[in-house]
Amino acid sequence: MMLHFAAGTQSHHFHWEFLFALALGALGIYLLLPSPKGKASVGGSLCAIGSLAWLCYLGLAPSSLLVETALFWFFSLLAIVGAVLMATLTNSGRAAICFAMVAICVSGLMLLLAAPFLMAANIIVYAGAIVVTFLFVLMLAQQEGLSDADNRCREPALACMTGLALSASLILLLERDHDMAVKFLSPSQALVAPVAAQRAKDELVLRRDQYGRPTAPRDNATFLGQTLYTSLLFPVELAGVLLLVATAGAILIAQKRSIAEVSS
Amino acid sequence: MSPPGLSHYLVIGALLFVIGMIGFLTRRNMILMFLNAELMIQGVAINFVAFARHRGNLEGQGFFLFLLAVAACEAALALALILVLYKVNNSLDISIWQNLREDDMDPIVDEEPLPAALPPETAPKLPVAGTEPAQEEELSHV
Repeated sequence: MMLHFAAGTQSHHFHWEFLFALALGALGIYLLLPSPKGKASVGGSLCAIGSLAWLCYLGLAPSSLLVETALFWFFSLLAIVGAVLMATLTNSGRAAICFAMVAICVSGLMLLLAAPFLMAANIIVYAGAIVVTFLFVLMLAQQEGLSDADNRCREPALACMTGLALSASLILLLERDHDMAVKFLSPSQALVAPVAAQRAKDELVLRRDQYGRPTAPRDNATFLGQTLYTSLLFPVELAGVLLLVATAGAILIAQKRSIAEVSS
Repeated sequence: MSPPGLSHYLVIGALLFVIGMIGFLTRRNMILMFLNAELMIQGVAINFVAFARHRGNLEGQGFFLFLLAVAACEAALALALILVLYKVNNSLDISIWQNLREDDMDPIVDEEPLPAALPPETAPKLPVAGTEPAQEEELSHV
């Protein structure tokens, strides 16, 4: 079993450079995390930027000058930079603004993935509602000066190693199963060929584009609504109940009176 | 000549998830911990939408809407809980609640002292930029 596994790994050519680039990134995040000694901003930023540049170099698809490719790299780089800043900044207000930036960049990626309705929903719910709520709570729970909460970390080295292990295994697996430069599989290549063939009769799939990708419906919101209220009707009702219960629960938890007072 | 494929989006999702996980594990400010949890949800959302594009159907996009609903519930409940916990101790530090740990676990003690607080910023003193012009007394009244 072990031998077979070892032979299997040897026969395939891993790109170990990914591992080193990710390790550099983990080191950068470790250096950037706040600590009572003061964080090593310069070294950490250099490591993080170097790691990002390395990853870009490794993952760069056959270079093409498509607008889609340029937008993809723009949004994803901005999202990763915002995420690192959010995880490492000591000022919670700035971290919330960074999260809004990440949410907007993710919305941009969704637009590239032919999901304009979800882009709007993501901006409204995340960059709008959730960030504003977070800022309200920050305002109510304001702390002055240095604090244990903002200027200390729990086990930064172990957490960075855990993150390195998870990201390296995910990316090496993806690297092995899909070439990084692979296109979206055409339905004939994918396992979903029968499903796709059935779908092709359906209105939902119109035709394939020049890259072999199944074309998403032009009118995203209409077809999404159709999907939601036909095949996903029961989950929609459940989500409504969940939202109602969460609203009631949040009001009950946050109010000052105790439960005994309310019930009496 | 090809646009970014499925695996590119999956890698971005994985990286966002991992960064959020590192932040969630290390940060001690409760608000920042929940922001990092939301970051992990964003990473997962990219996966859903990328697979919806990959398969050419809308089930993944529908699933993301449910993810959005659950995330909104989670944010509302978590923030209400954070407010209640903040009122008890007047601190957002999650490590204060380590007295809820198991009996046989040792408490985590912060050994290194925090650096002395920075001196408060003083506003620069500006020279007087002008004087108030003399006003003539009004003689006529309406």
